[in-house]
Amino acid sequence: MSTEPTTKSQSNPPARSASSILGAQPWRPLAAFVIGAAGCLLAAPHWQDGSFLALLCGVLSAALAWQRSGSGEAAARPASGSNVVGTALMVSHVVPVWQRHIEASKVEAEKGVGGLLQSFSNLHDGLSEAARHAEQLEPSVSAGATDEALNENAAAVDSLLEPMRTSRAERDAMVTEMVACSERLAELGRVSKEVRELARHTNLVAFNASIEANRAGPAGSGFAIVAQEVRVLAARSGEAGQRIHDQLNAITARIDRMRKQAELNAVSDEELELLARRRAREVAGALLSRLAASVRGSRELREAAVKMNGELEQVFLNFQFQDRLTQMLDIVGRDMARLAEWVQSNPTATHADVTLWLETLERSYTMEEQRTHHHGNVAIDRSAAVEFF
Amino acid sequence: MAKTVMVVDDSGSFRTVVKLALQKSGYEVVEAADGKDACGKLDGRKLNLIVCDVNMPQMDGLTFLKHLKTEPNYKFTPVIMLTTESQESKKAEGRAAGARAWITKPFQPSQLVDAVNRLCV
Repeated sequence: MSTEPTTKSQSNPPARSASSILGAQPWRPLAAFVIGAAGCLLAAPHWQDGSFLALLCGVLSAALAWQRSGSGEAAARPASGSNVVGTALMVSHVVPVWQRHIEASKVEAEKGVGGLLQSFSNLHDGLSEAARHAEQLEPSVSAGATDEALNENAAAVDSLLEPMRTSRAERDAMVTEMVACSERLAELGRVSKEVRELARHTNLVAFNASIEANRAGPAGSGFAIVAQEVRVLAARSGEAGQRIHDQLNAITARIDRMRKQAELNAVSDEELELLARRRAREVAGALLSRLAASVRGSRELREAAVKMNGELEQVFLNFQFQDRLTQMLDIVGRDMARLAEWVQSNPTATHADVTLWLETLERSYTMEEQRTHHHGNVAIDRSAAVEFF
Repeated sequence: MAKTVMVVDDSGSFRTVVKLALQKSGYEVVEAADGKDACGKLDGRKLNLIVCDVNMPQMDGLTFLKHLKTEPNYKFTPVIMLTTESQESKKAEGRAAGARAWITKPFQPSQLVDAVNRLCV
């Protein structure tokens, strides 16, 4: 809004209406004439030739009074210089108040924008920090993280299973041995059966030999054949017996081996257990280590998120400056328009006008800061308040 | 079911600030640009709370509040005045008209949400 109203009043003083002129002075010349004439008429009877003189005095009085009322009208209309003084009085008192409001608006805007910029900068830093934490966590939280962890620890996991595999192989070997033993035992059974058969047959032959011998008497030639058969049978028995002996030795040796193997397995099992425990501890340790890193990273991310939440609250707070700014400038704008309209119809102003104007302006304020600025302080100091009724 | 809050303010950007703060806390938000617009939206919809500015064109917040108390469906709906006004006389006017709380701008979103949580029916 410009200051033209002041300039306009200086160069083109507004004309007063005719009714206002007459309304101010009409009775004076008439009253002067009447009074002058009345006075003269009262005195006239005592002056023979004074009546004409009295009338002349009355007319002159009226003329003088008329003239005076004319110059009084001019006096009543202020010179263009005093119009300027009157309006300048208003401007000199009201404009500084506007200036303080505008200055306060600038301060408000600078604070608000500065706060927003700082908040956005802090948010940016927070997001960068969160991204960095997320990168560090990535191997732990990505989709293939489990496979990767297993691959990295495959050797350790295999080493846990290796003792088990060894144990199983050893047991398989033992089973094989036992099967072989069983086969040998079966063969031994057959041999034993054969020996029994031989023995039975031998008995039969010997019985027949004795019968023949008795019968032959001196001639006993048949006995010789019998005796030959008995020898053959005996040899066969002897061979069978040897085979049984050999088999028994073999079985004994195998059993002995099995015993030693079993003893060895007993020692291995203890060692296996210790080894498995150690390996399991190593794998668990590696997994826990990764888990701890994940937990640490999650905590850091949570802290970053809390920090960013706080910054967002600040953004919300700082953003509200524009609402206050709008209200401050709205009131100044409206007051400027009001003054421009006022000076069009009010060429003069008094201190009382100024006081009334400023009081009206102050009543239009909605914020405490506006009242403070009104009286000379542009500092902004406020705190949000919540009051429950 | 989410609770619904009506926000009445002549500043569009300010309504957005309040809306974001409340939606983040799980509330549904209905907006109105001033008291007259808000009256037009008292159409029987469920409102659990109203947040209202004081200085608005067409119909200011206190006038709207007084009108609200004549609406059978909404006379018990709690109202929080959210405004730059801090004069005690204005607060007294608000209290007399039936406001349940008075928040002076600028405000922390958490303060508003706490107040809404406390008063929401």
